[in-house]
Amino acid sequence: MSAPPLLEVHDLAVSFSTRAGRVPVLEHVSFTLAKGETVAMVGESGSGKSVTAYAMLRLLDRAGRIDAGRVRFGGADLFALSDAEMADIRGREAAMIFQNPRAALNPTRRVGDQIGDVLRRHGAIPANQVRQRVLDLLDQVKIPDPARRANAYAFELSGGMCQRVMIALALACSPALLIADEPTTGLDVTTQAAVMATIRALAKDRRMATILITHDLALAAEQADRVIVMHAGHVVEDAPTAALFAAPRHPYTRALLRATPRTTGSLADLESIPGSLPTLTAPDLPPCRFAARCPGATAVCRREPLPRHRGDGRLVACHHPLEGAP
Amino acid sequence: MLTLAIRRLMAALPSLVGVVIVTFLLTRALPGDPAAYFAGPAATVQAIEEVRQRLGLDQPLWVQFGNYIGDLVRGDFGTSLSTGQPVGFELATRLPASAELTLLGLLLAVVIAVPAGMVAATRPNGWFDQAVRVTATAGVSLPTFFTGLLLVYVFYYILGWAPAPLGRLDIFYTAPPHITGFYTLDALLIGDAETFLQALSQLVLPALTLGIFALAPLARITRGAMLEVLGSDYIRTARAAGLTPTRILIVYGFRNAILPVLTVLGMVLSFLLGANVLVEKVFAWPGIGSFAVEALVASDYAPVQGFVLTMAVLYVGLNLAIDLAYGLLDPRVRIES
Amino acid sequence: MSAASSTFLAHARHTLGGNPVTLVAACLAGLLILVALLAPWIAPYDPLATDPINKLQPPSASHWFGTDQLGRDVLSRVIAATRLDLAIAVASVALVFVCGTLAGVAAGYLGGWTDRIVGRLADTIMAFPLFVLAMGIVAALGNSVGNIVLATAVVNFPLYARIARAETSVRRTQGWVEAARLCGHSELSIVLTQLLPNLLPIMMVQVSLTLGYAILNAAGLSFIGLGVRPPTAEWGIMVAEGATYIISGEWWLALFPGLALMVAVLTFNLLGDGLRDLLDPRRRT
Ligand SMILES: Nc1ncnc2c1ncn2[C@@H]1O[C@H](COP(=O)(O)OP(=O)(O)OP(=O)(O)O)[C@@H](O)[C@H]1O
Ligand SMILES: [Mg+2]
Repeated sequence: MSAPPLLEVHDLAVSFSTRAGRVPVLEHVSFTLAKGETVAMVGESGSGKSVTAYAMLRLLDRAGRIDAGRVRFGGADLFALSDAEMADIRGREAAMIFQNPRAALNPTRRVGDQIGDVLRRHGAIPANQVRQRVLDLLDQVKIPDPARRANAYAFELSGGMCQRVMIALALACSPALLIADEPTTGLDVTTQAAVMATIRALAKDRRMATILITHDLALAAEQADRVIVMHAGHVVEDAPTAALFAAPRHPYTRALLRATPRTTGSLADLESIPGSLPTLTAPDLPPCRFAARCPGATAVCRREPLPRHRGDGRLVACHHPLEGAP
Repeated sequence: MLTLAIRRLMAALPSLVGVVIVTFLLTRALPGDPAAYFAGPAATVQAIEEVRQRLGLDQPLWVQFGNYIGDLVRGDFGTSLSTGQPVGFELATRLPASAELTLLGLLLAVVIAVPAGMVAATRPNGWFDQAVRVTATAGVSLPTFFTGLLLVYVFYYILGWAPAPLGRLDIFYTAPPHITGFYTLDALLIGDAETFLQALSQLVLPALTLGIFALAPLARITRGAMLEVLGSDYIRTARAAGLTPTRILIVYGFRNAILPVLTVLGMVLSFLLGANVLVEKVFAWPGIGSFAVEALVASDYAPVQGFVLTMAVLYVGLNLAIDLAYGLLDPRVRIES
Repeated sequence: MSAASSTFLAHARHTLGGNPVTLVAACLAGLLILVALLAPWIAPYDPLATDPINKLQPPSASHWFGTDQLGRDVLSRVIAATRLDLAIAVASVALVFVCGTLAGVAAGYLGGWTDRIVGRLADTIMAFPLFVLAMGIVAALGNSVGNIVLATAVVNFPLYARIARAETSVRRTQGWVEAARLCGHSELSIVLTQLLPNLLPIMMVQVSLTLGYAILNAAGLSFIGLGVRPPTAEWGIMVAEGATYIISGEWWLALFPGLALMVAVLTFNLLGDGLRDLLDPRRRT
């Protein structure tokens, strides 16, 4: 790659303090993202996708702590910025769409005012044009009758509507990076398609880089240039979409693909992933957190530090990466 | 909004009916013979019979209840044996004193407790939070009458900063003309700064005593509500949008945290109206509470019952006001109606 | 079962270890109860014996808390009052514990009219400022200790009834109650053997919290001249009597009974908070 990437996450580690002590949730998370690129981040529930996003934007709640790592974004070292400088970037340069949109909107403030808050905060436009811009944004995300909806409260809107309001809010200042955390979960198929189309069109228009966090592999295959697979707080594989789906190199990726229904192939081919995510507080957690569930695991996997090979534009974190077709 | 107000009013009605029934039952539960009580200690048998008939105590209970309601509607709470005045009149003249004291106490508590609870929530388990927590727990455990006495001892006896705890005004001052009935306010309205300061200096200690009592539950609930709100998803959204910390704290945090605070305000008022009686006694405050206590000591029951009923009706009314405020502040309630 | 109880113990140790305040509160509560039980034997003087020559003496070696306006020993009176105040509080809480819990369980289990009547009763009581209602009850029923107990129980009734009702109606529909019913247990035996034992822990928290309030309420009533009468030693009365002397500088008359009252209330409040944390770690604030 010639130009420096827009976003560079290097060796990120995050832990949470809980009743049972400190839990190392993320370890050695590294990836990059170029301007205009879309990457999908996939993995089981609890694998650390949201935490990665929060950590990058320094939005972790009080229990969470960044133990190590660096995030460079548009030339700035995000972890070295003051709180005020970071706040200037959030919402203007980097924005996020949250899981569970209804809860993510202030219940006692009109949605239009919440979008207006962002516009006013970053001084994107003169104060007397804020209202008009809010309506334009709502219109862009295909909310019918924006003038009326802008005056609504979150509880008066459907889930899909809230999701679109979230998108409008995130895109208000035309950010260079959008993190979309499961933007389509819980929506019906038509709304899903509409929401994704909206994000995509805007991404294309504005050369916006997008991190699409999702459980839905089909969605990832369709939307993303690249896919990052996470398992128990590790990035286990990171590869161009086509290559990853054609030939997964990490056993977990393969298992994920096999567990996903496809239009070709019968239901009988579906396999569930054995076991469940390991308990991260366990004292004897092996270096490879997939070892307990992996059919090809050996003593090495439980002993030696996990190698993180990166070559031909892809990364796989495994002692025994798969070769060839699945 | 009007429909909401009407609906809340209807919802408060059963409480009001319950209150009237209970106070009626309390008047009939007087130890011994109520007629003998109302006739006075020196009454003859004949005089007692007369009183019984005059008060309708020889009638069946439901007729008596009807009469009771009729009396209430006419504002007739009976006559105070000790002052010889109608109870309604006595209560009405003393109510402003109690109201001035209680309102200032509540105001002090809110002004201190709510910001303290908010700040405590922004740094949970920090030193300020710990301090608020200890103060809050100690505060609910303080008997109001004891706090009042301590304050008197320190600020009047030792430091000499406060005037003697003997009512609303020093005897050398005359009360300002009756406009609102609140001496401080009335003195201000006629521009009498000296009387205002005097009235205020008398008011500060008792109001503070009440305030300390109400502070604890308010600070506690504000802190809890604020903690919960600050941990919510929409606060994260606001942070992700880069909004400034003050804006997040006020518009996104406080605006939502105030709702649970309003809910417990009812309970706090219940405490406050009760504590008011004790504080009035400590500071010889000429309000309805000390009136009731004097009557109690003299076994003069009509004023006590009038007092209980007045307090209960006031309390129902205040709760109604809280409900309406809640409706105004919470769009979920407002829009339902 | 043993695993469950051992984790509970571990949890208790964790909570208490991390929360020395609760431990201190528990010790203080034990001490208060001990003083109350042994009052006649540990009081250095007769709490009622007057000694006009030695009246209004400040604290000294022979009278640790000083003497009052009649020369009575304040320490002895505070000790005697501990017994009376705790007895009033315990009696009233026991009364409301039984009546309130039963009413709440009946309301939650039977529903329908029972529920409506109990609910209306609780609402009506709650419509009064509680201390004012207690005043009204004692004034109407007569000025006696028994009526203070009764009034304090009445004002706490809604709390107990509501909690018991809520817990019961949640549990009523849970699997194991259904299962017991299918096994042919009678309704009464289900209530007695399945519901009540499960209600006990949460009700115990209420007991501790309301003990503090009951003490405060009873002392407040005596302070304004209801219930207990002089010369009986009681914290509220002692503070009331001492109030006259505080503005002339004799602080010890009111201070010591007031402090005792405060410590007792604080103890039960802290203990209640601690018990609640023990029971439900999530509610910890
Ligand atoms: N506040 C917190 N305190 C303790 N642990 C936390 C906290 N937030 C997240 N975790 C832990 O971090 C891990 C990753 O959580 P995260 O929310 O990132 O998962 P996810 O991949 O986004 O899952 P989902 O698909 O369900 O959204 C989980 O094991 C979770 O238990
Ligand atoms: Mg997530």
